[in-house]
Amino acid sequence: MIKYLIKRLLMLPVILLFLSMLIFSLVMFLSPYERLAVFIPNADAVGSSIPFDELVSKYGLDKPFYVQYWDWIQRVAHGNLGWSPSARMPVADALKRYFPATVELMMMGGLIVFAGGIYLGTKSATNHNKFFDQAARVATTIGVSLPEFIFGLLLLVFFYGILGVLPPGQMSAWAEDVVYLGTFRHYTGFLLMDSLLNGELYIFWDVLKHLILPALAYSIGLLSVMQRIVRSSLLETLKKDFVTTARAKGLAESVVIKKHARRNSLLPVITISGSMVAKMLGGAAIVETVFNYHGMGMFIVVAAQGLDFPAILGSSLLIGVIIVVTNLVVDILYTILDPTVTLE
Amino acid sequence: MEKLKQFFKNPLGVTGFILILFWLIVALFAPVIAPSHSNNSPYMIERIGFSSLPVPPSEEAPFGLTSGGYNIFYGIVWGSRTAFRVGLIVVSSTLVIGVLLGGVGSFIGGALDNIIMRITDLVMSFPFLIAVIIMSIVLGKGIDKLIIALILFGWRNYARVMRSEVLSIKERDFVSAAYSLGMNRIRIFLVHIVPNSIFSVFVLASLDIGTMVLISASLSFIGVGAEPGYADWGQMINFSRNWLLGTIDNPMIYWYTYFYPSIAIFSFVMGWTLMGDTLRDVLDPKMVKR
Amino acid sequence: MKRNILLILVLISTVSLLFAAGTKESDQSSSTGQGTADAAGMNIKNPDTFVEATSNSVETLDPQFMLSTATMELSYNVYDSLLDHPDGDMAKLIPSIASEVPTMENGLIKTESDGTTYVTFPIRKGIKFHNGDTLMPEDVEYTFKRSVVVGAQTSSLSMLTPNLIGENSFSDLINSVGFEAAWDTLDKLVTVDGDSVVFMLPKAFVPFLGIMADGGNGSAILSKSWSIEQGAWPGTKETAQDFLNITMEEDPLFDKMMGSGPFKLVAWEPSKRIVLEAFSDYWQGAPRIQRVVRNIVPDNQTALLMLKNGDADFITVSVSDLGQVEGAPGIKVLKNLPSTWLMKINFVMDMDKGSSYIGNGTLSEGGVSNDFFSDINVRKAFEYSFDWDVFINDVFLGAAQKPYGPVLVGFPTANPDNPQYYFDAAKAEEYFKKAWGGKLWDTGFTMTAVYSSGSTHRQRALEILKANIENLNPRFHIELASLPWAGYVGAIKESKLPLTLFGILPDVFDPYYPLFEHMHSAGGYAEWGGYIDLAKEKFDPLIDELGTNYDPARRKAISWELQKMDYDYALSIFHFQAVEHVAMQDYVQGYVAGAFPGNLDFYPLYKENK
Repeated sequence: MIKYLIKRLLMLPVILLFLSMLIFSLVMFLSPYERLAVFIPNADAVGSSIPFDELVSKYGLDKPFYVQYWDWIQRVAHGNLGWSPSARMPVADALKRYFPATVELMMMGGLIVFAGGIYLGTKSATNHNKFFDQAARVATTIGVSLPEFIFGLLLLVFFYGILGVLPPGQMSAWAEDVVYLGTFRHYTGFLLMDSLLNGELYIFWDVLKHLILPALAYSIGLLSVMQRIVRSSLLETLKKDFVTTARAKGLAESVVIKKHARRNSLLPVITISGSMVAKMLGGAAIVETVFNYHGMGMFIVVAAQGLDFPAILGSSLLIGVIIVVTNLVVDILYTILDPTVTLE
Repeated sequence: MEKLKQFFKNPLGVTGFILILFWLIVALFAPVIAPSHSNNSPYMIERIGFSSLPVPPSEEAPFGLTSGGYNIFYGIVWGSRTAFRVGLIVVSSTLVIGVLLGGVGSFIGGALDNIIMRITDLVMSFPFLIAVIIMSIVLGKGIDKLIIALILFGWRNYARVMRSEVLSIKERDFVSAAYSLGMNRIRIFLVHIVPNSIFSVFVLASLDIGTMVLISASLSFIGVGAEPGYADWGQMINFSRNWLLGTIDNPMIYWYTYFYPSIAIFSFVMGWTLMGDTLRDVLDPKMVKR
Repeated sequence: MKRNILLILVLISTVSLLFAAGTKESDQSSSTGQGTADAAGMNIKNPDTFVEATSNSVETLDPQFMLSTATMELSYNVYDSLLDHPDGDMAKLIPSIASEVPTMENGLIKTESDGTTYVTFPIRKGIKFHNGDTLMPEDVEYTFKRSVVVGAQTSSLSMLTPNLIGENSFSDLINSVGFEAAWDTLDKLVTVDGDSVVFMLPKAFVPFLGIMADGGNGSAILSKSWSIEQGAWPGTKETAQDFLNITMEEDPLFDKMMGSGPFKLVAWEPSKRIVLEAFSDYWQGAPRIQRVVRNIVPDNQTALLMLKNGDADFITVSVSDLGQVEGAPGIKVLKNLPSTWLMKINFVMDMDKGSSYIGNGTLSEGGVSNDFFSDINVRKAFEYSFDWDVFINDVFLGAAQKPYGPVLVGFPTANPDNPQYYFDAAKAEEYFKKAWGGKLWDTGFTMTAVYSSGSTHRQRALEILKANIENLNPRFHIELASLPWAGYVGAIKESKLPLTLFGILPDVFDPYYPLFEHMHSAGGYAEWGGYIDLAKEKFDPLIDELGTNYDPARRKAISWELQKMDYDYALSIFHFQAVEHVAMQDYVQGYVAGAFPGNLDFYPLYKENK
């Protein structure tokens, strides 16, 4: 096991290197002027007095791409991820700032997706084709049938526009003042954790409040997917021989399901969670824009639109690490849950 | 035959089938239902005027016009073609690629499996949004670029799911039995492994066809994807986002801008999902009829 | 069953707790200036704090590097400049940091026979910076020397620099005359004379005073001692060459502000918000609002909701969103505020031959030649094909103006009687038939017009052109394509697009500005449009004279002549000058629309029910 872990982890830097080369090679297709756009915000209200050539030479955008790549690699080797013109701060700072916010959003969403999905899926499977199953099917289909931003907008209109609770943003204005201007200590970078560590319970609740709608908006779709996967997988497992045996032994149905069937049916769930993580990062971008929630998603979209390569590379590296590690964890969990599967 | 009869006995399955059939007919007869009057590509939504405010339904435009004078009825009809095209092309391609790569890799195991998995990791790590955004800068916008991007990044799910199923199936007794009977590997793969491991993949696929439309809507939101004015339901939903709140006196005044595209998307996705679920139920040989 | 009930109970209690927690903020102490005040019937949320919601992000806080007009809202309120305008009157100059407006009459402007002009600004005493330091003439000297050394990019300064040192940038000057001579020029440029600062201009430059009067945008006066403390150029000859062309990350003033204006910077959270606080020692008296929060909200639907909920006090409203705020209780909407933003469709007369937007690249039905627009008949035909009525009334719903020409409506010497183009299909056909020796009409053409993704006004303008032109002749084909902003900018610079839609936003209220940018060989559009030689021959002498001649009658004559010449040469289609709408809470008072209505002057604002 340990050997396998080490082998996989050693592959990580190789993958990251390839990833960065792949991304950076896109520079070859772009003219240096296209990468200037990030220095010229606010598309409409700009005249022709843009100092194109000065900016290009100042930022070295016209050097051959392998020179630019080498510059970048060298800096990364020294721990410097470079400067992000779209975020107006060093890439590392931007990641430190925005990544925890998205993680909190994803954890909240993940909670909804996994807990809700597994619960609803189990219930659907055990009430196969009965009312709950049909109703759940309809409900989840509705959940997947609307684009996230429409869902998000509707939620915002209802809860914020009409009811006046649950406003957009990461936290209320008064909380922002305390967090950024006051004596608030940022221990972990995660607002929820930090607010508890600082003893600011009101801020904790405020941040939580602001998390609900965005998390809901983009987890409804994934919740539906999870529910179906759990349902179909559990249905299959329930037909297996060992389940019939357990029932024949006279065990109560709930025990059969919880102790025997569920564990084995979780395999596809584990598998899908790897890609769910990737999907969540994508969904976050859209939802973050609607709710004005400043996280990685927004950061990445803005960086990509501005062809801000230091930021793109920095975030891709971070995401790459997460995904590789997640897949690794998934594979290991797999062998735990299904002893017949061996690690290669 | 038997299976087909079973399929049509299921009310949900039938509903799904009818929905898809409806849209199929609309798509096939699009040039008759909503004829194109200009010499542009018929996929570009017909326009009547340039008004920035949506115009309510009238005889000329039974579903009204959205901002910019786009004929909503025309867009819905031709959008059905786009939905089918994108959905079917992308899903079938990603399914085949994913099943092959994931299935073969895990079946053979060893170095091949490792390499394929690392490539999957690599592809997965490449954030989809970044890739699509940069692609549209380099290649320009357009629905065909969208299809390519979706295929490039869509197969990884199928590969992973297929792989996990194959990994557990191949250790089963009936597989070892087949080996000891002298069956060759290819036959075992095609006859035993694939049919047994493919169910989760189908569930995924049935949702995916509808999801493609949703993804294109999200991409329109960010500013990439189909050309503005292209008949694409996702785009039309995106057009409607400024009109959700209506005016102060009448919040529902622009209902037609989001109502029709939503119904279209909703029924399309619903149809595929119901069909997919029912198909799964029917094809599973160990299914106990209740 | 029991477990389900438990679950539901837990959910309900969590939810109610969350909603309850929300009311905490109304009990918060007023140490952060929060709380509600009850006045004549309406709750004023946060009476001492003004909250603006905008989608415009801030690219830097260094006033000498701001490229975006929206960002200058910040430098305007945090810094001051030597002169200023009274609110709402862009033509008049009043003293600000300078205690007198220099004129020929009061002797503060002196011209020698060789054209060298000395402009003296007596500096007001007792002006304080936010850190308590007193503003001295040395600060003014430092500010402008620094702007030259670091290569200031703000448009007003980049126009000023060549008129100060004779070259486009200090680096260029060093390259042509060597560092010693370059430094010598710079040194003599701005000097301190007792309580005044003296500028030595190589020749008269009429817009000079206008540039100095932008209220703290580009010509913000920095604090020398503070800037040096932060690591900016120490102001000495020895260090000058280390600070040429600094990048964003190297600029110590990139994220800090130290001005003498009515508000001081408290915090900048990039892409999120900026917080300003009132400066009680402001030399004109403390402002009434204690705090300003400028939030960046990228989605306009979200911003509208914030306004209606009272979480934002002010937003700009696009034409299509007017329906959502007009008539909303507690909100007042100001419509049709003129904005100094002129948009035009520029013809590119000399495109890159490898462009993918010119079809097959030859004058045939399947393409256009790269010099397609060099034929004036083609340009005139296009001009007569643009339907202003449809554009302004249908697309903008009336919220735009048809420009007279390159000098903006409302600017001095703008000529309302300047000959103009208007939509006339018959005339368009006439000119198309004359084009390219009469061949074009029979051959036909294809080209691709490009707009930037998401820019509706660009898209509609091109769609109107396309529809009208294709109507004239079935062999005329104009395809439309969109590029993301980055791609659009790149394609323009590389001369790949046949038509570029870019405008003029003059920072200075002088006709020199827009005429220079549009028609001078060094102005930017000449290069983009491919008419540098034409400009050098016909326009430059007039524009240069406009810049150096103080005689108002002569300036008006020159301006009118240039406006007419633009019509004669049909350099671009001036398709609109913007008009803006803004919405704010009823209790916001003191708003005066400036040159850009969305850019706020926070100083006169206060909140009160009237």
